[in-house]
Amino acid sequence: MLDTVFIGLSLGSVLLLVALGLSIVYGSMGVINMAHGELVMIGAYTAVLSQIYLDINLFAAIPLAFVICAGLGLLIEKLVIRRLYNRLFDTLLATWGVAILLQQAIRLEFGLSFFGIHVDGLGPGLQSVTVPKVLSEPIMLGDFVLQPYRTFIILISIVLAAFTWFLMYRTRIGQQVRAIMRNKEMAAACGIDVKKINALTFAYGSGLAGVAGVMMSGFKTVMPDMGSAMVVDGFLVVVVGGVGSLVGSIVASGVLGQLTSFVAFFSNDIIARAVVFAVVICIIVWRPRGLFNYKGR
Amino acid sequence: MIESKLDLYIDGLGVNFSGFQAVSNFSMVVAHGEMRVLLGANGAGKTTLMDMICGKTQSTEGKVFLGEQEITNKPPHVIARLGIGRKFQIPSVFKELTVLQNLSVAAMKQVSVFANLGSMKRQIHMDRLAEVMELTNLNKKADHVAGTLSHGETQWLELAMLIIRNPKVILLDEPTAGMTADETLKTSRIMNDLKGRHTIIVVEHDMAFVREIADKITVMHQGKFLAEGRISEIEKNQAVKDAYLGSGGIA
Amino acid sequence: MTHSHLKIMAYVIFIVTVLMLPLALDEFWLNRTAKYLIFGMLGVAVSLSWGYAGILNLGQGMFFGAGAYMLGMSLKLASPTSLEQGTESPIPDFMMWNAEPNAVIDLCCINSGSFLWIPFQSQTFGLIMAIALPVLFAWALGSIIFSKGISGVFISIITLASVLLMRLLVVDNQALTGGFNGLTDLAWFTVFGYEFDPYSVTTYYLVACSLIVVLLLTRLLINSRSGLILQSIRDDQNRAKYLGFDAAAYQTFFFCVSAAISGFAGLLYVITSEFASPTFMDLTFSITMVIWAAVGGRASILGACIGAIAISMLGSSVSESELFVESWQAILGLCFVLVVLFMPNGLAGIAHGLCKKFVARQDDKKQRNEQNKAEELTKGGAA
Repeated sequence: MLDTVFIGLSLGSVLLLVALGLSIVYGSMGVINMAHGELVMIGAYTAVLSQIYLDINLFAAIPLAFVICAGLGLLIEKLVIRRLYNRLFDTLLATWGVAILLQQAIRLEFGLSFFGIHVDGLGPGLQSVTVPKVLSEPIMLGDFVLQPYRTFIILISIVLAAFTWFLMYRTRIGQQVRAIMRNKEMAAACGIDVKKINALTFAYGSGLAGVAGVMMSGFKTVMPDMGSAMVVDGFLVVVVGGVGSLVGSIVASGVLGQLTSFVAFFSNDIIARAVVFAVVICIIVWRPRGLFNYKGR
Repeated sequence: MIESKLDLYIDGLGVNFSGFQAVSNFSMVVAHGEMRVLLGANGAGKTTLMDMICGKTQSTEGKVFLGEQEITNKPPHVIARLGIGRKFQIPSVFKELTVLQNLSVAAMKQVSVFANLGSMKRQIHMDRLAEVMELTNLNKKADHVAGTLSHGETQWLELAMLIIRNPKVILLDEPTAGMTADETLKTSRIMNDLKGRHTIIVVEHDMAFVREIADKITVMHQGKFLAEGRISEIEKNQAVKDAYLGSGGIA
Repeated sequence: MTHSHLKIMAYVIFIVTVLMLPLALDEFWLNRTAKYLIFGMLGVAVSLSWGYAGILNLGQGMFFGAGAYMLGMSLKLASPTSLEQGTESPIPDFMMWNAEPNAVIDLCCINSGSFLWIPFQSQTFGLIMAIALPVLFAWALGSIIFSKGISGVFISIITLASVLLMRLLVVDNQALTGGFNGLTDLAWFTVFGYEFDPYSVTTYYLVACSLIVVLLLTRLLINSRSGLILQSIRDDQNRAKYLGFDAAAYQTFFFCVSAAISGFAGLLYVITSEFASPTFMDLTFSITMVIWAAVGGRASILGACIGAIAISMLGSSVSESELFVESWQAILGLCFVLVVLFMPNGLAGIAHGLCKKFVARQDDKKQRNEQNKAEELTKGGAA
């Protein structure tokens, strides 16, 4: 029983890691980033490659992935998103195209495979990352087996959520992001550099995705198409939690994580997905704007 | 109890937005063919009241009757079909369709998707469309895409879409907002033309315009009913003067 | 020469080309072309849903797959292998391999759920279900979601989640659906004793005529009053509501029509390709359909149809070259981004613009000719 709850927490924390970035970007910019899952994937590959070539462990890969994915995010924002601010819905499509490109870039090893060059750690095959020794030995707490790696994921997601909350509610830049979320034109009229803040917001969201990817690489097989299903799960969390609500994302990922874990315990993973999907539909029917949302009227 | 000559009967209507009581215990009776003006400072609750009548906002207390039919909190499209037409403060028309298409959509006799599977050539009476376009100064712009119209023309298009549906009750939210003096004059002519044939409730600020058109005025203050009467009575009403003390009174 | 004349010409050219192709192609190519035409039908479905109803369905494959599987089940039961299992009722081979221990070897009870296959012994049932099931899904999904005022993004996400889920469920239930391998070894589609050989000219014409009928009926639907109202709903849903239209009902109706067309495409596909597989519900396939419509022109039925046919033709011919096979997905992805950024109305949008200029120039020429004539008359009169 406790095992199931623990797995639920761990699933929820992974969901939260993915959904945090999505929620902030969609909530403040109205941009639908379908490449978010691929950014997670890039984070995972950063862990893979840094283990092979830089010989650093998972912990060090975290900040590296954050920086790389944030940089990638800035690039995407500049080249693609910036041209679509007057037709936000098309960001869904354009970022999907970017997602395809990112996936193929990894699969085709950035084009090198055409020349017969194979880069270890890239390509269509499966990759994996070894978890640092300190996190791989299960700890016995009486009857309950504590999986340290999963606990680590839960801790990281709490830390990141707290850090995001701090950025949003206790710093000047967070205030500006929230102002833009409420009313973009007024924020600009108040002297906020909306373009710059949007670019930084997108970069931050992408960086978070990168960290999520590193965490995933420790327990999931890393492959080029691991991102597609994630972006769906991430958006389901955002839809249930309420757009723009940090608390909503946390609660929603917790609820959906526990639900998945419990249903999977009694039947299997696929039925769990079906049940979670049905529950999401029910929640949307009952509360179309999500569980928590800041829009009063 | 409810006379058949009444078109709109509002009884104790109110709404509470998570703690903020925007409108409370508001009652009003509007007779058939009357032109009623709703006055009140910004934030008095006039637009919210209109939202509740046409179904855009759900009320939390009270009832609304259209003739003998209760319409409280029914879905907007049902209320619209029962005979209430609404014109918004920010003109809302179908920007990607032409003026003629906008009016054709407004003029559809039937609403269900199955009833409308027929061709555009049937059931659209071109002479009626031409008549309304003439009335609202849009006859030369029939094939223009609505998004390219000027602000005043967009207001008139929305008005035209309302008129062509021949609703029993028309709700107008600041119909002259953003208009030039010339356009305002044209608009008051359109509205005087409508008087008597439709019941009209207008939210307005422009007192010169109000003088031109109003039969009776209802004043709202902080979401509540304040006073009601002819314009001369309202100007003498102490409560109204007190409410507007400091804002120059009714100019 | 007006704009609508040019449009009619485009349709006529397309229809005539499609009908004339058997004169130029052999059976192998006819079969391949039939498949492209079926994709063209999918393009029509996407355009109707996305361009006209404003509903971006990222999981169109679920309707296509449902249609394919429904008829596929009937054709499976009619195949010689199923009929020769030595039992009273036909039994698909994969069910025999997945039989539950001690189960009665009959379609009703060989495994739990196999009884669902029983009505599919009638091909007519399979045909009807191929359209009915997608419409039912669409109706259920639409009635729940469209009336809640949920934003378009989430509708797309929900359709995306649906197709992913459907694929998982189909693959997981191997005993019932053939699992990962899908339905293979199917009988030919038979009507009144006539068997449709997938490589025959008749089958090609079955597909071609179906496409033409769907194209024209959809065009009629869009030109109807409901079509105009639908576009007004897409433009400003609230305004449409305050004019008395039940926006959710319109969206659900057109969503169902789009689903029916996709289901129809699915059943035609199973007739021409002789298999139904979970790959129909792959996410990449559903997204590819959206790319077809984006490139062809999301708000143009004919444009999306031609876009679908052209891109899938290109995709197949590219499989000759190794370099391109590997990078085809990447090329598609790049095209998608470029089209969305710089050509949001697709090729049809560009064609539309060119037509407008052409028509305007014709009008100008006419005006000038008339002016010249008038001048000459006055000159003549004055002289």
